[in-house]
Amino acid sequence: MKIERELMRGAGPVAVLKLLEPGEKYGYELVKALAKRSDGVLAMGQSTLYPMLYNLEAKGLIASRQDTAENGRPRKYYRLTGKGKKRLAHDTEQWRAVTAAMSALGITGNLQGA
Amino acid sequence: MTSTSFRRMLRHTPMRDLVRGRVTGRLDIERMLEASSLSEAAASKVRNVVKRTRLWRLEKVDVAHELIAHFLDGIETGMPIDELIETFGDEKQTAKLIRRAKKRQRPMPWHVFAWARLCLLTFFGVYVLAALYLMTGSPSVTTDYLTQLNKKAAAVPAEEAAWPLYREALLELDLDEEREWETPIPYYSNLPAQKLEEMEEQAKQNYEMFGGGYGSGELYPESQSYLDPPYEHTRWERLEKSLRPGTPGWGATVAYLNEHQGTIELIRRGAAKSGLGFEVGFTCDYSEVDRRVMNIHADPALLASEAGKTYRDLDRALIGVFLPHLQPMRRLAQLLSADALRSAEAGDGLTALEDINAVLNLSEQCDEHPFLINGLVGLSIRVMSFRAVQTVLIKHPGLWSDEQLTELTHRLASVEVSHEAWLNSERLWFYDYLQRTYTDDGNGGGQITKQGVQNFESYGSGSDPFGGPHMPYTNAMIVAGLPAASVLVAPRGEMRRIYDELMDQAILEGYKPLWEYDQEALMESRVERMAETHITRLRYLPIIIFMPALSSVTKTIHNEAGLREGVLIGITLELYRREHGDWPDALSALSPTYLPSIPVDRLTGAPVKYRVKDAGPVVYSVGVDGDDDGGRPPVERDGDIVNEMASPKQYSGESMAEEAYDGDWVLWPVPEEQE
Repeated sequence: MKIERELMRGAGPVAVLKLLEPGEKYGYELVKALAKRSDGVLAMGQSTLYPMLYNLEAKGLIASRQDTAENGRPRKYYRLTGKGKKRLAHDTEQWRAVTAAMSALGITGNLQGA
Repeated sequence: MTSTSFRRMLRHTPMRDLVRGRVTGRLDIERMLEASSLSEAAASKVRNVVKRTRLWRLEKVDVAHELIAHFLDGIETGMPIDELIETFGDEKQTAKLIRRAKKRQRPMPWHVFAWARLCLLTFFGVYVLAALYLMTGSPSVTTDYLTQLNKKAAAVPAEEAAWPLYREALLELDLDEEREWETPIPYYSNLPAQKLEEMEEQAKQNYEMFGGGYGSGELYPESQSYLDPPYEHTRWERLEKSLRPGTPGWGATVAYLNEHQGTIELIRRGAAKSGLGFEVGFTCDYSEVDRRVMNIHADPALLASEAGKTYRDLDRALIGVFLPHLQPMRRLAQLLSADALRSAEAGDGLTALEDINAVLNLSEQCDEHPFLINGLVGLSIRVMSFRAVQTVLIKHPGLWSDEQLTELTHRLASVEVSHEAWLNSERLWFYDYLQRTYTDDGNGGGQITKQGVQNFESYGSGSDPFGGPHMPYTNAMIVAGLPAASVLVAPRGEMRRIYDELMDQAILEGYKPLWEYDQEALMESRVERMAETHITRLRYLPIIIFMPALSSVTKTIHNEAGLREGVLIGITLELYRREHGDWPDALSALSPTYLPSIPVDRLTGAPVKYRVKDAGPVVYSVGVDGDDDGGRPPVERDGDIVNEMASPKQYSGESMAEEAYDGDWVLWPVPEEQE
């Protein structure tokens, strides 16, 4: 399922922040994780992910470092900053409220009973 | 390493590495792609996106690293390269988003600079558009103020017009005829001939150095007189120094006047006419004869030239109106005054009285156009008649009969001065300036125009906007200055409102007695305050430049009125003495038999002072210093008498100026030295 651009614009950053919560990740790792953990709903290509990562970095929500991977190739790893953690907590709360409201409306949640 | 690859590495090494002595070549994206072993399709994708980002080179390298790593990571996990390329997304869109995001990461000074540049470009764009828009505006001259002002002159019937007689008289007198005098100005008569030649040469050099002046110089090549030459150059220059008995050339003047009695009679006949009948216009409108009569030195060849054409086209604003008749009229009045004194010496009281009455009439004819300058010239002419009356009464006390003296007092008392009319006519040429400077929105408002900025620039720089073509670069500069001028200079409505407010105030001030003046609140002080700050000076520059110096005008008006009161008292004192055999003890004795009331001191509001000194009466105001000095006029350090009234700027009822002259303002008899 392809998500509308506007919806993706709101969900994408918080999804990336959430994926970085346990620890740092590199770009392709994030692409894979997003596709896998969202069942492909939030899958995004390079054209979306990297600009998003640069934006989050510009806002100080994530930070990056250049390192050499085990295979000897240079890689850029992204991690959550303190500011990013706060934003994630805030956004999570917001999303939960939205989801609850959507659920109450019968849009999300157990759709069997609807 | 080949020299070529070294040059390539050098070209792709950042400055910071070079400064550290390292040739890293780390900006070489092609080399990175080659080293990555990516397929050509994937490499091309990376190359295209990176190129399209148009980022800084280090930023591009960063993006290239990331994208290469992405492809390699995908291949490593077993993802087919085609699928990776397929899911990459649109190159152009990717490049655009990456560029936007990367720019956000740039340092703060860059953002400040970028914003400043954007603002500047936007401002420049708006400015250019505004300049183009304002360029299309042009002033619309809808009111012919000159015709309005000429109405009175045009209505004078030919048989009642004085000017044709004056013109004839001036032609006969030919006062500006160039003469080679054999003797120098009497003042220099004791100097040796060699010294006189040196002075003449120096005067000519001064003329060459300073001749020309602003703009109009080219058109008036002869308008600059020699600076302090030892010889006169025209008949008038010699005559005007000898118009009073006692001056070195008085005898020659008497001979000249006797010789020209027919012409003097012509002038008297002109003065008896009910109107002047002189329609004012512009320099180029006058015929060669008129130019000779009125001493207009415009060069006919230049007037006919291309520069002259520009001049003729521009010289149509009321501000450029030419009043060439005033100087000749003043000269005629001077000759009449001199003739009154000649007649008095000859014992001809009737002609002397006719001459004085002619001077008074002539002064009133100056007011045919109610310009301030006309009024002031009229006042100065009237003061000549007072002086002549005083000289006759003191030197020939029995010349005029009681009836003649009484008639003279009635004539002097009938003089009317209307500063209000003068100031209201001043408004007209400011309105004319506005209609030639701004557009007209039909409701009294309007924006400044290209022509307006040109006028503004010309007046601001002190040059004459109607004096000839402008500098070639001025047009572009003016267009460039239009938007700024439209913001900085007051728009038409505001300019006129402020000007009218100030003029209204000036008219009210003109009716106020001087002792009620508040210097700080004077119109002129308000205008001076406008000139104190750059913003208001620029905003109201035309007002600041064109507003007449009211304190000087007021001073002249009160000065004339005070001297007129002085001469009236002087005549009635003579009438009293004839009847009672001696001067009165106090001026109150004159009223109401000889005078309806005793004039007050124009500076204090108290009655004018009077005392008998050296067997003669002295009437005076206490003067600027406010204390009674017994009728002694102030004397400057160099010995010159300064018998003049205070300027309202120097004086107010509550405080005297610190630099006030010590002495009185003598109204009768006025000291000889006062010009």
